[in-house]
Parts: sequence; structure tokens; C-alpha cells
Amino acid sequence: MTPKAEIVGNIPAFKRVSPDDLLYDPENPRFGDDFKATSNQQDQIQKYLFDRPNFASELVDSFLENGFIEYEPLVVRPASGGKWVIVEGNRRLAAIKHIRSHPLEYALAAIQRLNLVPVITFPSAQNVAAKNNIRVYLGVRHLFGFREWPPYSKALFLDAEINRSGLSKILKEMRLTKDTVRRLVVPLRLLVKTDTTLASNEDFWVLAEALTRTGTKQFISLNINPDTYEVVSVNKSRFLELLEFLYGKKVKQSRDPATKVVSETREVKLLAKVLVSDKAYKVLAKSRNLEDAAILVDTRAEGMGRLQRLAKSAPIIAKQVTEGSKSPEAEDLRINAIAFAKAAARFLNKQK
Amino acid sequence: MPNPTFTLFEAIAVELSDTDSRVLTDRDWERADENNPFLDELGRQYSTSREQAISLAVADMQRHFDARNSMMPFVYDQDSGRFCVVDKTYLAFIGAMIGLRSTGVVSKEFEIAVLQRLALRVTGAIHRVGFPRNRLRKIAACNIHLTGLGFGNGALRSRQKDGGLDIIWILPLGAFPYKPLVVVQCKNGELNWKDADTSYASCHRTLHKHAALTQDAHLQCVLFNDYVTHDVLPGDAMQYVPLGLSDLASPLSAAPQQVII
Repeated sequence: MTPKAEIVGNIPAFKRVSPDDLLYDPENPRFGDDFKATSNQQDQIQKYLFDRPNFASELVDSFLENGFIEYEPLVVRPASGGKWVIVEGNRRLAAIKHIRSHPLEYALAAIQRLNLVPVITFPSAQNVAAKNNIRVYLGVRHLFGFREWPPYSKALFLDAEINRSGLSKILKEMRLTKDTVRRLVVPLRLLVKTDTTLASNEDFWVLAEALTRTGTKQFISLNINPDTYEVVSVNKSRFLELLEFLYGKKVKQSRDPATKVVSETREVKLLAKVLVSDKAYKVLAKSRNLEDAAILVDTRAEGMGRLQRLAKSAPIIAKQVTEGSKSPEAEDLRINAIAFAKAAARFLNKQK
Repeated sequence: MPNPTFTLFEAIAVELSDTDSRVLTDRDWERADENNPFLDELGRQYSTSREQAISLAVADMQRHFDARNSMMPFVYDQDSGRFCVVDKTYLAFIGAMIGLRSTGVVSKEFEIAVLQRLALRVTGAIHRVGFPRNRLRKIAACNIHLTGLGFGNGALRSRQKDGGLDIIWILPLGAFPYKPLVVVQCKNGELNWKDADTSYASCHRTLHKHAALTQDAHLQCVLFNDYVTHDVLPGDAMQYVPLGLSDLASPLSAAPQQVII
């Protein structure tokens, strides 16, 4: 059954209004229990929205660059005295009010572009049905929300946009960080340059994350133009090997996931460390076990931690595996595991 | 770079490279994907939320730079989340260093960039030994050149490039050949003590060939394309001074000397 939006009285209308006629609603669910204000305390609400934790401040640069994006009007409901109360778009309004109240900080033209902003008006929320409409609207928008594009789709979109308009224009218009763009675009361009593709079950983000690590970049001799994020050069065979570490070895047209060495994104940091050590890399290539290889790149402190864990577990493991056995070998193992644990403890204590 | 505080530092430096200010919050680094180990690591390091961790990390950066008499290249307004550029040139330097890091073919560029930044912080003469070595192809010619810096004959052995003498800062004390040298060896990579020890040994051997002063009269430094923080230093006393990119920021004051009477 398709639910129907119930509209009572007027139907929603599109208008342009002055931000000065827009008021915050202290009852807006955004404010939760952390912040209490009354309708008369508009300045306090403005500050709460503009600064931490809502950071409307981050929208200022976008409004200065792009003006108000017409396709995303604020949503308001009528209030007394020709004013309107914001239902949706509190942060945007806080940024707009901030810009308009700082004429010395911002260009006049940018301020003037915000003299009137587009709004969609909810019908008067005086009756239960209208209030219900607002409640459902906010719930759907903020709790159900929308699903983000997968990283690979984002990468394709950004790559096409950069090719069309240039990197700096995209960064300014979309207010993306360079880090975000680089993370998405560089792996995509590497795949294109090396004539490689990922299967739908191979997480593009794992490769993106791996490529942020210096060790990984060094391993594949990656050279990127820092101004355009074009791939200048890469060691293709090493890149293909990296893909095997991340997704598994190629078997005909697919990959064998059992042979991959990274099981979650967090491990790419360790992989990067291993890849820049000749010794550790050789162990990894042979054993396909990241933990085994990582021992060789431990710092002293990490090595001490590993020793401590091993000393604790060695006697327990020895006891477990030899349980019920009275053979001289089992006895020997138990004794030596305890001796090892004691020797390690003595050594570790001395180091403190 | 294992330290998430300085991963954040470099991320901020990159974002500020072509603007005077920018609001950057945890959302900016999350936007690419919800699963962002970099912010997770930062949160774990400070045992707090990602948002709070950014503030704590910036405070740590400030302390780190202050301790080196270095100028923090940006300021941060915790309330609005806005970062404002203080030292654009240094931020550009950091951006360039990120690009050069661990790329062997550009180690000369790294040395030159280090030399130029070092010049902002020291008095006296600074000298990149790699330069005359490129010009003076024959080892004998380069050795003659080194005698002008106080070395004895035959300082460099055959097949040596610069004997580990990447950059020499000639202290404004004494007169040749009794002028002590500070040698800054440049490692265009992340912090790696084994690499540094190897370079130290090579340089130490060359300093042994100095004409008038023993090795003890000189000072050796190893500078990484990274950041040297307390948690990564080995526990034991070191034979060389470990330096990082934060040691190359503009000095906090033009005349940092103290005269204590």
C-alpha cells in the first residue's frame, strides 16, 4: 500500500523570503536535550548552530562561492507577524545570517545574493494533521535519509567532473577536501592506467585506503601530479601484486579471496609497513600471512609487547595441547614453555 | 607516517595549500567514506570522539612546534572549526615534501628544499655537498673542494658520492680548519632508525678525515621527511640529533638567542 501525504488546508508553496523574516524553532528535534532556548533567544540558537557541534561555519565558504543552491530550498512554516519558522535548513540559515551580519568580512555582492532565499512553505501547523506532516517529513529526511553513493561511483563522477572542469573548480564548487578527491580519484586512475578492473565484490575503498599509505606508494613507485592527481608513473607489476595482497590471487577471470592478506581496511597500515621492508615483503610473498611478516617490521616497543603476549600464552598453549599426555616430549614442552615465560618476564622487568 | 596527529597535520596543510582559511571538521575527512581508519586512529590515540580528537591533536601540534621554536603554520578556532593560514610558504613546503617522500629519484630535490628551509633558522654558511659532487665528477676534484671546508686530503674514498655529508652548516665559530661543522643528513622517507644509523656511520667515517678536529668536535644530525615525536625515539642516548619537518618551520622569533648571565 502506498502511503499518502496528508495535506491540510493550503498545499506547499515555493517563495522567496528575506532571511531576516526567518526564525529558528527551539523545539526543532535537532537541538535534542543538550541545548535549551526559547523562541526569544534567537541569538543563542544562532551561535549554537554556527559553532561546534553543528558547525554551520563550514557552509559559509560554499555560500560565498556558489550563492544559495536553488534546488534545495529551506522548508518553513508560517509564524505570526509575517515571519516564518524554519523546519528544515537550520544550519544553512545560520551560515546565511552570519554572512549577512558581517558586512565588513564578506564581499557586498556575496551578501546581496543572499537577500532573498528560496523556501517551501509547509501549511500552517496549527492542527494535528499538519504537525504530523512535519514530523514525518523530518523523520524521513534525517533518520531514513539517503544512501550515499558507493566510493567507486563517487570516483567515476569526480573523475568525469575533473576532466570536464578542472580540479580546482570542482574543489571550490563542491567544497570537497583535496584528501577526499585524491583518495577517490587516484585509485580509479591507477586502475585505468594499468588496464585493470575490480570485480563487484572487491571493495574499491580498500585500494583507496592502501594508496594513502606512504609504504604502499613506495612499493608501487607511484608518482602523482599533485596539482591534477594524474598518475605520472607506476610500477605495473608491483601494482598487480598489491591487488593480489588486497583481494587475492588471480585465478582465471576471478580472484581467490583465500589468498588475500588483508581482511579489513585497518590492516592496510600494517601491509604498508611490511611492503617497504625487503625481508618482511619476502616473508609475506611466501607465507601470505601478514602477521608473520609484521614481526619483522616491529619497532622495539611493539616487539616487547608481542614478547609479553607470547610469554603469557606459551605455557597455556603448551598445557592445552599436551593435556592428558605423559610423554617425555609433552613434559619437555610444558617445562620449556614455563621456562620461556619466566625468562621473558625477567627480561621485560629489567627493561622497565 | 605512523603518528595520526601528523597525518592530520599534513591533511590540514594540503587543504590549506590554496586558500587562506577553511572550516575543516571530522565530517570533511569522513565524507569520502564512513569507514575512515585515519580518524579512527586519531580517536583511539586520544581516547575520545573524532571531533574532540581533532582539537586535542591540534593542541599537541602546537606544543610540538613551540618546543622547537617553530611557528605553527596555521591557527585553529575550535568553536567554528576554522583553520587560518599563518605561514603559507611552509605549508607549500609540507605539500611538496609529501609529494617527494620516499621517492628515490628526487632525493636531490629533498636536500635542496631542506637546505632552503634550514637557511631560515641558522646563521653562518650552509653548504650542500651534493652540488659540487655533481659538478666535480672526479673524486679527486671533490676532495680538493672538501679541503676548503677543513677536511684533510682524500676525505672521500672512491665510489663515494658525498661521504654522507649531505648538508654542512659551518658554525660561525673558530677559523678554518678549526671551524666545527654540523652535518645534516637528509633521509627522504619516513622515520627509520636503521637507515639513519647506516647514514650516520658513513658520515662519521668521513668526519674522521677532517684535518684539524676529531669527530667529537662536530655534530651530526639526521633529518627525516617525517616528524620526530617523543614516542618514536629510542630509549637510549643517540649519537646524532634526529630532526623532522617541524624543525624546518619558520622560527618563532628572529633572534631566539638567550643570554643568561
